[in-house]
Amino acid sequence: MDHAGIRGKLSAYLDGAVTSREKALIEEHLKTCPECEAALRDLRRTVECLRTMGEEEPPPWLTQRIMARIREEAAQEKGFLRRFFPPMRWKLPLEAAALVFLSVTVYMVYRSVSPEVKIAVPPVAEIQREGAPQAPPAVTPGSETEQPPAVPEKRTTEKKKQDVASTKGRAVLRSSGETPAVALPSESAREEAASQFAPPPPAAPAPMPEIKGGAQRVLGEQGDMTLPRDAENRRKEEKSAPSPAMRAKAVAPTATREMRVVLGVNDTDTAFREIDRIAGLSGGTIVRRSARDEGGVCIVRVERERLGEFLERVGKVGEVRGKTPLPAGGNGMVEVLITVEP
Amino acid sequence: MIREKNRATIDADAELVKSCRTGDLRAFETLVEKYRNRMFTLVYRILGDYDDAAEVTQDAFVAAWRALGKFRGEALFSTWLTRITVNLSRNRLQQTRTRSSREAYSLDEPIPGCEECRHSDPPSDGPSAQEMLEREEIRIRVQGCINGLEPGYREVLLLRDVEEYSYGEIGGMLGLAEGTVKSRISRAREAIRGCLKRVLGEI
Repeated sequence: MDHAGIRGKLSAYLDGAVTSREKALIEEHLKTCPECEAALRDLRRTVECLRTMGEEEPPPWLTQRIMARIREEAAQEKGFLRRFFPPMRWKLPLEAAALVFLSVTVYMVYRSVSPEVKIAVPPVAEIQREGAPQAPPAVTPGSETEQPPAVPEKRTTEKKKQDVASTKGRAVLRSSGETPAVALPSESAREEAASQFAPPPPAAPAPMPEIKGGAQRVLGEQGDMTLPRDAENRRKEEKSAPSPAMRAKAVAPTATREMRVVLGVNDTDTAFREIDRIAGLSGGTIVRRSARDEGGVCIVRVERERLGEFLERVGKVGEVRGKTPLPAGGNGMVEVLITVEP
Repeated sequence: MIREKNRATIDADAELVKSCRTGDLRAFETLVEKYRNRMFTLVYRILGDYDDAAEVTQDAFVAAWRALGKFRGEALFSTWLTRITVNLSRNRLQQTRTRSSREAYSLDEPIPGCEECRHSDPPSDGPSAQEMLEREEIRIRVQGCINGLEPGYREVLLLRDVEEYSYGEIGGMLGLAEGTVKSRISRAREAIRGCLKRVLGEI
């Protein structure tokens, strides 16, 4: 290493940033080179000057200004975060609102997916058992306008109970938000229906046409029974009727396509099997059947022309305890609702 | 200036930084108080302007606060803060290059902006007024010589001879090879030595 090389290494030598070999060469050279020795001494003093300059005194407000800006930054950060994370004071009301919303949603979803509510069968059959046998088997045509007979006080109380049960059933159906499969009759219709099974006074037998109300009630309270489309539509019309008078007008024409029979039998199962058979013989079809131990209901669709033949066969199955008038003439299908009682 | 490298300081800084990350402003204020003078002095040495130094020092601490989340603790907090400070000083120097070069040392006029800020030291029984005046004079002239250096040379010289960082640390901080740091320091010292001999007669 020559003089220039050693001169260039003096700064690093001062910092101890040279190899041991370089260090030995530099120290050897310094002994014989006063210029390099003076340069090294000046470098030492220069570094000393720089190191002993000391700290400058910053303005007294420096920390204050820095911290003011930091606080501003922190507040902005907090504000930014607040946009996404609401403060604690909003937490509880938000949670409450969320809970209410969730509850309403769950209720609505439950309502929309829950199955149709089936109404418990009220004790209509009992009424029929008590009332129907005493009803006169004969039907008086044109007796629709007659007033129902007076009902004993005890019977009235029972009817009220039944009405309450029926009303409850209707209420359930309405509250479920679903259109019931069978529309329930009005209060007056149900009263009429109940009264037609009441023990009639000898002079004024119960008018059989009003069995229709009772039959409707049986169907409606079965709940799971679905009437044919035309019958259903008719019930909708009844339901939307503004007054009993108008309802009577609406019901009258449709009665010609439907009739009802109350049949007293010894054995329900046998009776139903027999009805199946005679329906086939008369070219009819079983539209719907709902059988229970204590009785049941079935609907047979049969041609108007063969209705007489069919009813005659039905009369042989059991005791006809009541029936509505034969529908007016004409072609087409007639639905016969047969109420089978033990 | 003696750098504090003892374990207690390191641990104290780490704890303070941890607190700062949770939004503890008081912890950050402690760090500001601790490093305020050192950073201000470094910026002043690089820029040679008192007002600019105050502004850049503020910016450096605010930048450090913003970047605390990125600080992984691989380096000391003081080293990390120094890097931020030097980078901001360099940016400011580039913006005010013309003015800075105009304010480089001149034998005929004192360095502006420095006289009014050096009277805060109370007189003591140690050095006499004459000695203090001489020291002040020397300091002003040394700063004038530093101002005459190219920015790239100023940074490495100050980081080595004022902040006392190693060549490796300086290289890591400025993104320079260690050999480059070594040669720049050598040239910068030679330049300052020549300048001081010129303005002081002898060093």
